[in-house]
Amino acid sequence: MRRRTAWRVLTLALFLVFMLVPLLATVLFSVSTRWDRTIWPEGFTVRWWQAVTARSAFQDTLLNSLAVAAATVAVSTLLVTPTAYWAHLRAPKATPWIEFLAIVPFGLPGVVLALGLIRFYSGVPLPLINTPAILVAAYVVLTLPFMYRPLVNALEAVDARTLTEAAQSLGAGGWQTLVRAILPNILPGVINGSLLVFSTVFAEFTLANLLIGARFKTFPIYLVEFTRFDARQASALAVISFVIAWLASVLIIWLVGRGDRPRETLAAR
Amino acid sequence: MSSPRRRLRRAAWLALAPFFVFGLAFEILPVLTLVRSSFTVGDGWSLANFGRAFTPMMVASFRNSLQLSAVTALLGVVGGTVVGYAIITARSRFVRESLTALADVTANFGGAPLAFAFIITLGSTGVITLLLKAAGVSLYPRFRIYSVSGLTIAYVYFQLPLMILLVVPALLGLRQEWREAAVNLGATRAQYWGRVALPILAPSLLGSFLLLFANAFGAYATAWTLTGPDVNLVTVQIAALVRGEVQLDPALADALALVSLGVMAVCVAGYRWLATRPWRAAP
Amino acid sequence: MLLPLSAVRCASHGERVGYVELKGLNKSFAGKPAVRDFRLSMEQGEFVSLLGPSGCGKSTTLRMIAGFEEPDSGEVWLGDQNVLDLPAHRRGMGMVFQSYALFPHLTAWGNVAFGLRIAGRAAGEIRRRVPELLELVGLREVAGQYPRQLSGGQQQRVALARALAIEPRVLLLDEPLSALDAVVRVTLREEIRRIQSALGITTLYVTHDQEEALAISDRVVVMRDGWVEQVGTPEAVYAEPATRFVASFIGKMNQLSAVVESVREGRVRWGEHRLAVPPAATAGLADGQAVLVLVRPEAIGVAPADAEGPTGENRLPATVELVTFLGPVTRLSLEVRGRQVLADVTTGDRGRFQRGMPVQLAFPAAACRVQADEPAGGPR
Repeated sequence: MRRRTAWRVLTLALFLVFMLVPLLATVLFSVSTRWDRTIWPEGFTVRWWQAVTARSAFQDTLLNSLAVAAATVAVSTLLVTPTAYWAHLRAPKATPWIEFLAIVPFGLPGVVLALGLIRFYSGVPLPLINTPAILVAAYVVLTLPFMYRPLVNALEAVDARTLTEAAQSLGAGGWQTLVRAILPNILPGVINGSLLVFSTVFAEFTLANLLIGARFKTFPIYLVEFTRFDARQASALAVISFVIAWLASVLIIWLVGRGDRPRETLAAR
Repeated sequence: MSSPRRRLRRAAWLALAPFFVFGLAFEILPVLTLVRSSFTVGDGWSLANFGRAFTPMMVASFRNSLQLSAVTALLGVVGGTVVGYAIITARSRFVRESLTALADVTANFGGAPLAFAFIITLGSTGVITLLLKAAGVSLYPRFRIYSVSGLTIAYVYFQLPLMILLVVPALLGLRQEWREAAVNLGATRAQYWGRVALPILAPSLLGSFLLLFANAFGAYATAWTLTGPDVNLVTVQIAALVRGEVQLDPALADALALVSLGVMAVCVAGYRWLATRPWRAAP
Repeated sequence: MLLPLSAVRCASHGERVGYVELKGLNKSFAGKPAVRDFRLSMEQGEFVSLLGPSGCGKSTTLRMIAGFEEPDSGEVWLGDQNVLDLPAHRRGMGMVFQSYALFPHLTAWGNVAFGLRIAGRAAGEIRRRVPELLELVGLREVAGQYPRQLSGGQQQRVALARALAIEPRVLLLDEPLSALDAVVRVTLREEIRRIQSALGITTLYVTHDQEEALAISDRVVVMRDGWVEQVGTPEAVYAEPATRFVASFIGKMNQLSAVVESVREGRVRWGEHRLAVPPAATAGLADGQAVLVLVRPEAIGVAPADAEGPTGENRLPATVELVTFLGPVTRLSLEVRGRQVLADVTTGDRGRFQRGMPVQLAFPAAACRVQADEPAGGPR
């Protein structure tokens, strides 16, 4: 086994380098005065950070993204939790249908979903198009698998059926049981799913760009604009994106130490 | 059936209604609209849209997308398996856990920030470019980050950790006794991998390939940020049509969208089927 | 079942094979010794069991021989070859694992053929030998099935056929039957022994089940805490346990703490009773030395106090404390002046005894073994 350690060290080192260099380069770039001629930045400054965060658009887009992400989490949780619970408990025959709806988004590219939604809702007399509402709805669809899986795993892990029967024997009705007996026990699964939804939505560009675009700018849109405009300020925004995504992942990993873990991840492309 | 139970069943289905209505409204109907529209010409049902949609440029976009997806999926599967194996056989628990966590975190990176990070790293004045130039290797002008090759590298960045997350459970499922039995029966390391480990892993690897393929095929933000309209990909074309930049009738856009949905559906269905292959469940 | 012996050969090279010498094997894990100074000499064609409780080092010993663990020190000789120089995949020892370890992606046929394919045997030969081997273990009809479709017993037979396919010089079995249920275990152990005898393969068999070891082995190695406690035929280990551990591990044994009264005449004092033992048994001991008198429960005859007494030089009055029905025998727990003695009677006789009843017990001097009373846990 000794001679194989060299292979392993080399592989892992290359992996580490490949993963970390782009990130570290971005961080360094955002605080360098100039870095296009030399291997190391020519100087350091916080100028770019100050510039990009000073704009009002920065705060607006950040808040927009946070708001949309939070709304998606809220709608998704409210929609999926009772559904998963009721299906698991009382209508197991509905489960294949629910699972189908929760799998379809995996095969739905953002551009296609955008196209379909626009196509459908242009002909529908509902004031949905071009409002954040359609974006939230689209995001809920997109992130459905990420909320559904951890939830169902949690329901199975805590044996929701037995808990329900216990609660009922003590006099709790349907909603009471869900809120008081089940929810506290599947909370790690709910939080897990919520974090995944949040980080996916926060970083999502395609649907935001195509469904609303200029009217309601989210943070990723802001970032892409800057990549064409001023690379250095854009890099500061990129660092913020990475940090938020990293924070969400770390929280999930920390939670995993106490719960289950969804294996499917889709890059925010 | 007693009445209260029937009521309960009906109540349960009622409670499921909001979810189904939502799914219908924002998942199924939009897709069906695309289906209907792409099969409609004038008042009748027709396949003409597909014929018209496949102009040389559109055909090229499919070829590019399929190629890019296949290449990055293949690189992802091979690289991810090698790195994944290196991780799980690492002696130190710290190394194993921190690298798995790294894969977990970076699998979710992607899109615009990632594309941008690669511009900084491998652009014409990027740090690695400069490093290589100092070492005597000149990447430019033959290599440009704003190209399919650059895109490939950027895609591999998120394909690799995704594969690691998928392959680690499968590798852990390779039981120690199978290796010992193979060795005891005379197999060298290569023979063990060739005749036992890889055949057992095959369904999982193939399924992962399909998932990675779909992942790359449907990606948009990375490509848009890195190469914009310069690289002809299916998702880029569809997005352009959504934005109304190119004057084509809607049915054409829908036909394109439907074909890409077909590709995705095959991948996802294939992945699901392979994930439930019998010999995953070893005796 | 006719075994096609002519068609299935065990290793028959020119030199003496299967003669196994294990010398001074030692192995520690993280500072904790698992195997200590293991020595064993095996004749060709011999069936030897390694018997002992969990953690006694028997599996580790086997794995060192197979090449999956590296000994800290010691030698393993096969004929005139030091096997430790060889990597695991070139040792030519067939191994049967506790969890069967059948390859899930191959059918029974494919599993059995695996070793032959690795060795590059001709397709025709493989096509001929695999069915023979499956026939040998009685599984020809399931050749096309996958492991997950087979029962535990069937899987273990396939594993055996697979190990035999490579014509090993030594067969190693690591608790092959412990995952199976009791009835299958008995049938399968007989079959393993029968096949092994027919083929004449030197075999090392690890088990924690003493009945298994006694039933099918030529010799038994009793191990504890990494040490070898005793090596001997099943009869010897049973009737003449060398240490206190072996006495209590193998079957049930009465151990009476006594003091030697007369070495020459073979007399010991057990409390206020005198017991006669064979003079040979006290040879090498001294008058006044503390000893253990070992008597098997089945050697003790029991009768109600007022009935005609059982035979034997040593007779004692006792009271029945407990009557335990064990199936073929019934075990009586008897109290003799505050000390417990176990006696087995045939179940047919059971009706004669009840709790609290006064009885007389007797056992011949010849049934006794005497051992110096060593402190518990002492190694040899």
